[in-house]
Formats: sequence, structure tokens, C-alpha cells
Amino acid sequence: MSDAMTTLVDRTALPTSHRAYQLYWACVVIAMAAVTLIGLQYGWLRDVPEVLTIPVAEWINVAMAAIVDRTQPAFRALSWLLAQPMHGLQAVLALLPWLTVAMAFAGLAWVASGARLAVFAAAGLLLTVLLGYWTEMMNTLALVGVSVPLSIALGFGLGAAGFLWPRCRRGLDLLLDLMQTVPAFAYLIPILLLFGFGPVVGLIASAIYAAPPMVRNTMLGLSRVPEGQVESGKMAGCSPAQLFWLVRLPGAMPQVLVGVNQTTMQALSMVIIAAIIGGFDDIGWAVLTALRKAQFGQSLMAGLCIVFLAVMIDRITLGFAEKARVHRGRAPVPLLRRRWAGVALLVLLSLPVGLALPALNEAPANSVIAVAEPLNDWLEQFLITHGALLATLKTQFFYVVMFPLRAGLENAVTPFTWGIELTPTLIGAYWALAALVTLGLGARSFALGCAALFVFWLGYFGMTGVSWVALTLFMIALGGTLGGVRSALLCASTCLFFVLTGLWDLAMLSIYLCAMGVVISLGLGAIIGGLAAHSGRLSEIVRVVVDTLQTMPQFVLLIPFLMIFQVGEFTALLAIVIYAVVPAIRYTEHGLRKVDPGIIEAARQIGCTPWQILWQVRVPLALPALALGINQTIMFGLAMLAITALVGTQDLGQAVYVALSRADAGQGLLAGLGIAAIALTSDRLVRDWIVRLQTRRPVPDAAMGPKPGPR
Amino acid sequence: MTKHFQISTLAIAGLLALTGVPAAAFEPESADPIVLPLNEWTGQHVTTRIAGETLKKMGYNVEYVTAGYVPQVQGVMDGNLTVAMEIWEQTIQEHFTRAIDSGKAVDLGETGIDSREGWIYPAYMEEQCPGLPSYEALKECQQIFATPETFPKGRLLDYPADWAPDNDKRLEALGLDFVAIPSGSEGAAAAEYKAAVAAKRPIVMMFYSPHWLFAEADPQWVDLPESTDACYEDASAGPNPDATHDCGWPAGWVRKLAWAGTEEKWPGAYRFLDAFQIDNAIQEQLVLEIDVNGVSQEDAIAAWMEANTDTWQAWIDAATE
Repeated sequence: MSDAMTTLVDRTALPTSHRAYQLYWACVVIAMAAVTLIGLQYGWLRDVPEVLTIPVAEWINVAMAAIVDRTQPAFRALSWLLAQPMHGLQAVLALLPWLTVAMAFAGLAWVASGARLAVFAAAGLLLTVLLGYWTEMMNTLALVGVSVPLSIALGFGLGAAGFLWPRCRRGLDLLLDLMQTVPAFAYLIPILLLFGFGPVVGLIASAIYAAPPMVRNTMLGLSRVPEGQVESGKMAGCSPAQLFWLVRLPGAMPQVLVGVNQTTMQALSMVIIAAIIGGFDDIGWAVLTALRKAQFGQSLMAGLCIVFLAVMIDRITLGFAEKARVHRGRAPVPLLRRRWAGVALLVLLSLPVGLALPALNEAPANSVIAVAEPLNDWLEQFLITHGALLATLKTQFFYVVMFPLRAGLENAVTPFTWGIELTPTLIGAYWALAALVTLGLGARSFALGCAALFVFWLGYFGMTGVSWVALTLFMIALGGTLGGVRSALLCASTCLFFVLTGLWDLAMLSIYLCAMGVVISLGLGAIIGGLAAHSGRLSEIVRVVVDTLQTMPQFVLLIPFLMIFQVGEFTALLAIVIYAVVPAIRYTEHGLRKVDPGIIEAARQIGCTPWQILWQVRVPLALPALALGINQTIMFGLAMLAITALVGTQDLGQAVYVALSRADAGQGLLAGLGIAAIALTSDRLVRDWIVRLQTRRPVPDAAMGPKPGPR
Repeated sequence: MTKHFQISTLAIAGLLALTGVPAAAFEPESADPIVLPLNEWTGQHVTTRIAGETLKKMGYNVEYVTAGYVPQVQGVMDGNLTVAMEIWEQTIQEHFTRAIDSGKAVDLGETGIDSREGWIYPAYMEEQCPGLPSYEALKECQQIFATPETFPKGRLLDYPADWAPDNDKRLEALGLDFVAIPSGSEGAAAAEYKAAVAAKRPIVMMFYSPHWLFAEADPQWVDLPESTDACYEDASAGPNPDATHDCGWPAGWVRKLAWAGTEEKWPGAYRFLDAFQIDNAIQEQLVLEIDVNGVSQEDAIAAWMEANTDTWQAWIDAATE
């Protein structure tokens, strides 16, 4: 997940056309076939034997108990210390009339960006008041108000350390990757044990989760300060400390502020997730309670309030970051000063007005506009009318796609599901077809043939049925092909991790669910992003939808699907798709749009049809950006996987969630690390693949796609 | 004169009781807030708020905070939360025992709710699967309960995973080829049950009473082998000679878990909470009012407090004598 694509092509990674490689893959295929065939007789080749697993989770728990016993007083003291500013801020926000707080935000928006944003902020806050979520929102704000500075300080410190001591950067990169990919559910319990019950748990969790963008942007900003500036600082006789604070930091400021923006957004999203611990009556709890009661309307409204808050904070911080970039080194413009003064005056004036008029002082505790109930009724009506049809669609999709992928055609094809019996003749025909397709495609491209064979193999045995030895062999070979020895080692250690921890089956279920979600998201993303790249108006609409989907708390996305399709994997799949489609759309559109218009024009002039331009010019040129999109789609899918435990899945995400509820820190951490391992491995492989694409098809400026990482 | 004095005292006391000012001359021992956790389901909110409002009548400073069902145990042990009003035996007994053993929390006895847990099904399933309510019938008709996700096994819609259910053990011990699918949330389970009833679809689900679902959908209980202590310790007990957990659930207790320092800090409140009991009827009525009729919790509880002055006054008198 490192930002800059600095991964160099490993010299051990050769092109697939190379004869040595074809021989190597032929060996791999034969070995996999042998293992699979022998595995039909010897079960331990197929399912991970229990003797191989070691009780790591228990060890972690023992270690955890020892650590907690010794360090608890220190952590509890820290916890108390952190709770003070939060409760203080909460008390102040509760004391102020809502009118004053809303004024302050609208004013801030006005100074940061202008009248449009001010109107937007005012409207959003008014809606929050009317929907009855004001108190909850202010509590959330108090939480974010403390966790963000904490996160920023932590991120800045780590980023500066990473810049000043390049030797720590390796370890730092790994740390950041883990912070972003281990689902928060996994570390909520250790935090709970150390810091004690209360909102501080959410505070710490969001500080951890939100710090990485700050670290990365700080490092990036500091390293991009022009050498000339630093030199002139040195010549002016700056001490190292002066050089850092007075020369480098101001130069890096715009990038650092981008980090502040991203960190704020992530903190906001994590605060919602951490509400599962409770203790603060914040908006996340409101969403969670509505979810538990399956109240679609209420949860959607609470979610909408969060979207407003998130978009508002996003635009305000971006506005200030932009101002810092433009006005770097200059005195503040008089206009800006006057605006600040105006805002201050308005806020001060609103105070007595708000205190005098109860309606403007105290926000209602319950919604005064009836939106939620009609929404619920509408959904119920929809269910009664279309429920049966949707259930049939779900069942069909499950039989034809999901079940075979999970358990393999060998289990999925039964008279009950497909209406036919899987006879030896049919099995023979299947493998004959597999051989034909493999050879046919293999004649055109060796890699394609191998891929086809792999798909047939996977289709027959299913994710949970394939031999673990064979799959491990395949992953190592794939890693070696794409990225060389180091990627192969990474693949091997990931597989080994799952074998030793006994999480293999859960990992396969996670990959099955996530991979399906990612493929569907990519398909949808390609269509929607492709269309949006061609139409400005559509692009505008898509952007609003995509922004909303991304800032909506992930919990909320579960509910409509839950109501329609009930508890289970299908619902989880849809929830994954609706979240993971965001980067798929973004990167597709971005990639296609960024293609040099000159090349398109040239293609048009030599007489290409629009279809040819798309497939033979735009797509190939956009491929690196598209590949980055694939990478991000996988990350988003995995992030959602942990959340879908709430609608009843059976994978690593559920293991994390169950561990959370049983206060089993070891199991939770292990399963969480498992998800992180899948994320890091797939990230590495996709990146290796991008590098291969670039070395094969050099495209100027191709690496300059939007930065990865959520947002 | 004396008589007149008495009457006026009574009148004032009555007036005070009506207006909600502490009635007796009881002085709370500490002004620090008694913090009561509100978990994720309405029944618990009702129990907690009735206790909390009564404590307020006694003059205590009461604070409600939202708290996850399992994380709250840690909160009680640390004294951040004062009393968790509903700890259900079947769900987090393990955490409860651990908390008591640590010496940081004490058991305040039962809440007074008779809980029943087990598998429920809609009445029309007796036509589709003759032999119900006996659990043995489920062996014969597991295919009816199979869904795409679980096929060929039957599907038992389980508690949310964070309630720590043990149905996987029981299904195996009882020889039922079913998969327990965690429902993720109580609302999801209830919603799915209602949807199934509307479409007359097969469903068997892990659930508990008291719950408003019983008033609305009239589910039936599956008959399971009686729960005994031996069933959990001795494999030979119960129908399956080789496994423990081959039985249903005991009529469970629902207990109150208090921070160990409660008695010392708020002796009066401690006595009240220790003696406090409500019953299924009160809870069911209020839950129906809140969840089905859409009355806000605060209003529903306030109305109840007003209508049942005698009840809570008796609690207070008992605690302050």
C-alpha cells in the first residue's frame, strides 16, 4: 500500500513468454494436478490437518493478560487524561445553543470556501436538528474533536521520524499497512482491556486507524521540499531544528494539510464503527441501534446526517488547505480578515438570541419531520410486492454462481439445485471441455491457457474444496512470476500463516466472498465509470452518488439489503459491492479521462471507430490507472468484509466480530491479521502486475494516477 | 394541632410525591452519578429506566449511557458503570462469572424476569413438518428448512454472533444436520421471522421471551430434551450418550451485576437495586408500547411511573427504612 510506486522490477521476474518460465509453469501445473489427484485419496492434502495448527491465539491471550496486569494503571491514567478534553468539549457543545454551533460551522465554511459551502453547511445542520440527531451529532463531534488532533500529532510525529531516519521507513511502511488493513473490530478488545470501558476506546481506535494518511503525506511533503530552499536555509546558518521547523515544514505544509484532511475523514468513519463499544450516545450508536431494530428509515436518516457532517468537514479542511497553498508565505488578505471578523460577530450575536429562544437553543430529541416512518412503510410495501421475485433471483444466483464458487461444482450440481445429477460422464465432459479451452487459449497465450485451467480447477472443487497444498503451490508460483522471489515469499508466508493458525477455511471463505464482490464491482465500475467518462452531466451525478456511498457509515449500507434478502452471504455480497464499487467507478473514469486527447484525436484521424478508440486506445493507455483501481477495489472489499459480519457471514470477518463479542483478544487479532495478510498479498501482487504492465508498455506519466488509500 | 400538623405533612408528602421531588427525608449518600448502561434491546432499556427513574425519585443523580452488551462487563468491573441491569445466563454467563470471581463486581440477584430461550417456529410449520414440536421431527424434515446457503443442511437462524450462542454444539449433540446461521442483529432476526410468516416460508429460529414478537406473531417452541446440570458436564446424560449439550436451555436467570464499590458509595441505592424486581408483564407491556406503538422511551416510562406510584414508592420505602 505504499503510495509511490517505487517497487522495482525484480530481476528474478521474467516475461511469461520466456521458455524457462513456461517450463516452470508446466511443472507447477503438473504438481498441482498430482496433489489434487492424490488428495482425492489422502484427505490431509486437501484439508489442512489439525496437527499443523498451533494455538497462537491462546498465547496471545496469555501475553495480553500479563501485559494488561502490568501496564493497566498507566493506560487507565492515560485514558482518564484523554477523557477530560472530550467531556469538556462535549459539555461546551451541549451548553451552546444549536444556533450558535451551526452559525460557527456555516461561518467556517464561508471563510474556507465561500457562500455555497456555507449554505450547504447550514442546510445540513438544520436537517440534523429537524431529524432529532443534534445531541448525538455533537457527541460525535466531541469525539472527533479530540481524536483528530491526537491522530494528527501521532501521524506527524511518525511521518517526521520516517523522513529524518530513512532506516525506519521499512518498518514504518509495514506498520502503516497493518493499521489500515487490520479491521478495527480486531483491536477494539485489546484497547478495551487496556484503556477500560468508555468512549476513549473509540477515540484510540480512530486515532490508530486515521493516522496513516497523515504519516504518508507528511513524509511525502517533507521529501518534496525543493533542495534549493533547504540549501538557502543552510546558508543562512539555520540549526538543524530551525531548518526543520522554519524551512522544511512550511514548504511541506500544503501536502501535510492534505494529510490532515484525509485523516479527519478517516477518523470520522472509524468513530462510527467504534460506537459498537458504546458509552457516548453518539450518532454511530444511533445508527447501530436502528440497525439492530432493522429500522431502515431511521438508520438512513442518521447516516445521512453523518454524510452531511463528513462532506462539510471535508470541504472546509480542503478549503483551508487550498488557501494555505495559494497564500503561502503571504500575509492574510484583508478580505479574509474581514470575513473572520464577520463570522466572529455573527457567532457572538447568535449566542444571546439562541439562549433567549428555546427553539433555537435546545434541539429536539426526536425527529420533528416524519421521514423515517414513511420510508419504512415504503420498504415494507416494496417487500410485499416484489419480495418473491427478488427471492427467486437470489436463489438462482446462489445456485449458479455463489454455491459452485464456494463448494465447487462437485457439490453444487445436485438434482435439488441444478435439476441434474453429476454423473461420471458429466464430470468427464467437464474436464474434456477444460482441456479443450486450455489448449485453445494456450495456443494464443501461454498465461491465458494456465489461467483457464486454474478457473476450471477452481470451479470444480470450489474455494473451500481445493487442496491447500496445490493452492499454496499456485500462489507461490504466481508471486514468483509477477514479482520475483520476494513476492513468492510473501505468498508462501501468507499461506503458511493460515495453515498454522488453523484459519485456512475461514480465509478461503473470505477470499471467495470478497473476490466475487470485487469482480462484480469491477464490472459495474467499468460500465458506470466508462459511461461517466463520456458524459459530463452523468459524471456529476455519479460523483455525488459515489461521495455519498463512501461517507455513509458502512453499517447503513447493510440495512436495505438485509431487509430485502435476509441474513446471509448474498446480503453481505451486495453490501460489499455497493462499497467496493466506489473506487472501481472512480479509477475507471479517471483513467479513461486522463488519456492524452492528442492520441485520441490522432486515432480518430486515422479512422478508428469509437469502439476501436475505446478498446484499442483508451483502455490500454488507462491500464495502469485501472490496475490501481482494481487494487483499491480489493482494499475496499476487504474493509467491508469485517462489517458484513453484522448480517451473518461465516468468514474471517465473522471470526473477528465473534472474538470482539467474546472479548477474545487473541482470536480477534489473529483473524484481523488474516484479513490484513490477504490485503497485503493481493496489494503486492496487483502492484507487481502494474509494474509489469508499465515495463511492457511504457506510458509517459502513467504512474500519476490518483493516490491510493481510502479517499 | 398535632393532628393538623400530621395531615399537612401527609399532604405535603403526597404533593411532593406527585411532583417528583424526593418524597422521604432520604438523603443520597453521594452526589456522584449512578451510571446505568443501556444495551441494544428495548426490554433492557425498560428494566434499566424503571430502576433509574426510581433512583432519581430517591434523590440520586442518575446517568444513562449506551453500552455494548459484552463490553459493559468491563465497564462495571472498572466502576465506570454502576449496575448492568440484565445479564442473561445463556449469553454472557462466562463473562459474568469472571467478573464476580475478580472481586471487582458483585451479583445483585435476579431481575425478576422469567426468561425462556429456545427454538421457535410458526404454527403453520406443523403441517409442513408433522411431528413438531418435537425436535426429532427436525431430523426428518431438515430439507424443508434448507436454504441455498446451507443446502443440503437445514438452516437454524441463530442469535447474533456477539450474543455468544452455542447452537453449533447443541445441533451436533442432538444429531441435527442443521447449520446455525448467526443473524447479525436481533432486528434482522425479528424482521426475517415476520417476513417468513407473511410468505408462509419455513423458518426455525433461536429466540427468547419476553419479546414483542410473541405478542405479534405467536411463535411455537420446539420441544427439546430437558436441560439439567448433567447435560452440560456428563456426556452420558441426555439422548446422545457421547456428547454434552444434547438438551434445551434451562429456564434462565437474568441477573444484575454491580460494581463492587456500589454498596459503600451509595448504600441506599444498593439496597434498592438489590431488592429491585420487575416481571415479564411489566416489561412486555412497555416494550410493546415503545417498539410497536412508537411511543418514545422517556414518555412510556414516565407514564408508567405516574400510573404506578405505589409500586415504586414501596421499593423506595423498603430501601430507606
